[in-house]
Amino acid sequence: MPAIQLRDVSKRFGDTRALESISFDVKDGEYLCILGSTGSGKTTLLRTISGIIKPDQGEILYDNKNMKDVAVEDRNAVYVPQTYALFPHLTVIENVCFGPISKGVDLNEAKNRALQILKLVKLDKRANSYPNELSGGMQQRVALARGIASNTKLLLLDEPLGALDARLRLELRVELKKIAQENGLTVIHVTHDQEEAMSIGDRIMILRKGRIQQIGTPLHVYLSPQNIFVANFIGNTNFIEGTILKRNTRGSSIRIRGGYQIMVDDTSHVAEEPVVTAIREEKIKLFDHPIEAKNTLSGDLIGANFLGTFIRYEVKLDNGDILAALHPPNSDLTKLRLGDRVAISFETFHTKIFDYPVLGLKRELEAY
Amino acid sequence: MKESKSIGEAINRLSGSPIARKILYSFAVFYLIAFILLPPLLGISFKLDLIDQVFRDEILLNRAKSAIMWSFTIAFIIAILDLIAGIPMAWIIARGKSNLINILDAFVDIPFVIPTVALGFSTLLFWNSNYSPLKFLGVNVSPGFFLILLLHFAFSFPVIVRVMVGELLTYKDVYENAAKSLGAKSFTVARTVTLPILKPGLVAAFLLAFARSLSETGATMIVAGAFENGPIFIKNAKDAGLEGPMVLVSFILIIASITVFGIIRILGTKFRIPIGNVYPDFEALLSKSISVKIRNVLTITIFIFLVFIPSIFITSPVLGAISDGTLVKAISGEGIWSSFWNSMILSYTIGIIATLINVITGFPVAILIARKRLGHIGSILLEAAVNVPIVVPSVALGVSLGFFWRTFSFLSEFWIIIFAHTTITYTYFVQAMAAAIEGIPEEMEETARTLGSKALGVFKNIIVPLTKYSIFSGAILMFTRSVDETGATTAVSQKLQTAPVLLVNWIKGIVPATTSDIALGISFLVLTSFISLLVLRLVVYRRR
Repeated sequence: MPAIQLRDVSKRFGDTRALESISFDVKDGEYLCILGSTGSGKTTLLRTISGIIKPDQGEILYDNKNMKDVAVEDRNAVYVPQTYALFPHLTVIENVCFGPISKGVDLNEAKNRALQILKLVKLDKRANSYPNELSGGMQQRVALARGIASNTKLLLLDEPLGALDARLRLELRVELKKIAQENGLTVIHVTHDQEEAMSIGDRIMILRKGRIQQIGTPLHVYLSPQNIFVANFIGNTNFIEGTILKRNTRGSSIRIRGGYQIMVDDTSHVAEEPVVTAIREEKIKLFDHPIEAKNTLSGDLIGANFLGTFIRYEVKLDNGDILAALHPPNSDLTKLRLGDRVAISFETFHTKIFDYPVLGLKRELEAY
Repeated sequence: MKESKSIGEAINRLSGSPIARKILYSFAVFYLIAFILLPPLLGISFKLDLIDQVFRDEILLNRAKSAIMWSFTIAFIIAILDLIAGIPMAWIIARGKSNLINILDAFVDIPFVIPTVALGFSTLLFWNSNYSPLKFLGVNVSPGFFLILLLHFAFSFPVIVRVMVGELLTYKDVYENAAKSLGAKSFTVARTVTLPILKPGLVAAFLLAFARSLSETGATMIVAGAFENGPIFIKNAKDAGLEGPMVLVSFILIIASITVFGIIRILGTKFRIPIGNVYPDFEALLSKSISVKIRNVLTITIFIFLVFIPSIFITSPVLGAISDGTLVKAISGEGIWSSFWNSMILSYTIGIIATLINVITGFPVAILIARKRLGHIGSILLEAAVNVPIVVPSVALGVSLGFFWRTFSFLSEFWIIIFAHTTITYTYFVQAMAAAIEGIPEEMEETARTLGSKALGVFKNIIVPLTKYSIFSGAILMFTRSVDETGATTAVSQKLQTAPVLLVNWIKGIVPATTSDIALGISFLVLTSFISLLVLRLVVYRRR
């Protein structure tokens, strides 16, 4: 199983910086998800690791071996694009045999192995079908089978579930991870779907404008985002602009717009320092009546959107800030009407404080 | 002004009526059948009673059989050889990164823009000159079979390269990347993935090269010597006043070429490029950068010595014509030059009229094919009918068209030549337009309709602007093809002489002309093609 290391890898396309000093390691047998919005450089990164694109600078190592002069076909790293690139003129079994035959494996031996792998992905009965006769999910499994049959230990998947419907995506997530584990594969999986990345990846990496924002386990990234962009990109987060008023050993108080004050656990910022407070939407409690508690603010209900598992309430605070709160649909709050007076409250330990961005909060939240 | 606006609006409204559209399409299909498809097929059948003459003369019969056999043999050999040489060249152009590729790309088209008569004369001059590479080896290439092969190789070469460059440029490299990441070397990828996926393009390129070789007459006449293939046999029979042999060979060439094309088209799609076995060591060797360099050098050398230089060799005697007074004689219209300028005017006039007729009548048929308005089978049949004129050897086509149109005694020879030229050039426009319209997503038209645009509005505001390059290039292609046409015009004309027909007579010595006269006459004709292409580029770039 290969361990992958990237050291200071950069790539430009004309004036566009696609990758900027990318460095990270992927461990043997690890499933790493690269998460980013469109144009963040995630596909370029994957194609660079595969060797299809040559980096302008930096090193890519497979098991400590520099891949600089190693051709795509000699890297033993299978790249699966979003469209799967199943060869349309070959049947399923011929597609799966392609890798072994290209490497000189005897045709009969290659076919036997291909059949075994097709059984593994439950497609042995479709061995003689052509790709255009298969559903999207089947095509995805053939692409996986083709990769496994080529005896690779490194799979590079570019939005492998992107072309599938929502239900199939959920099913195949589990299957993908299972196949990777059973075959001892190292997988780098690119996606823009945060839920997919968090549910499948051993670790996730957030990419923005060709730069790594954070890398870690899904839970760690969710609970401890390193910056405002990550806090906003992973999960649903409210941001409140303010200035540190006072700091003591147990926390700080922050003055927010309209002269209101909130309390946070953070002690790393000094008085008068401008900051941004992040609070997850699901950590905000909403009340249909006034309450007396720490970190309570009141305002008018201006939006309520049913999302299936939750209702997302939008509240315009008396200071003009707008915050959102997620609540299960079975609560008493469903009786609320737009324009009703409400109160919101949150715990000090559910807050996360960031330095105020140099270019402003709005710019910091933009993906591009 | 107001009145013309209201007429325009009325036509626009009318175009929304399904009946009006049906009438328009019916007229276009009627024209295709009555003026393009039936004349070549019916004309020859009017004279089938004459073929008896051939069966009574065993020598003539054997000559006819041999000529037909050679036509197909040469076309087959040429299509294969051009495919072998053309694919690597297309690869270099489509995948090369050097700036020199643009120059190479432009040079590949040279045999396209040079009239076939000029190409034939240029080839003859080159292979008999002291610069001929074969001369260095002590081999003399006299007119005959081998020179025909060399000529046909040169003028069919750009067909293969053009088609395959187009295919390679539109081909998604995602398959190649996937294959490489599965461990296949670049030669293996090309052999087992790229070429099999591009098989329809390969079959089309093969057929076009085959058709071009099978059909060519003007240039072949110049390099054939005593050798006879089908078109040369027909020309010789016509010159000797033997209608029977002319009818027999034309008839067989028409039927056989349509049949062979049908067979290749059907079997071509079923043919599988063998991909079962890979020879990793051997193919890895062929994939090495040194092997690729050797292949590229070999490909470019073949192109330079077998295609490029033989095509432009005509320019050397032209320089002599400027200094020896021929140019002055030509401009003042002295001697044989007086008829030359009349022929040039005739060629241009015919070219313009034939082009206009085909643009008007071909557009609706292109839409019918591209949008499959007559259903899947209907579109296939329509496309097959459109392709008949390029499949059939032009001289055989000319013979048949001559017989057909002369039955209408009120038609002058001028109009008979025009009808022959519309038949011969029709395919080029309809094919180019059908491909261009196919490239426009149908959703665009549907959206325009839902926004309130009538059919004419969609045509004017969506189809025409998006296909203007194809309209111009299709029209220019038709015009240059018409101006350069030799084979069919030779067969159909009696008194009138277009420029290429006149030049063939000069080259053949039927009219006494010096090498300088011939070279200069050909240069004037070549100039037409170059000016036409220049106009095309200027118009297209300005509009962009």
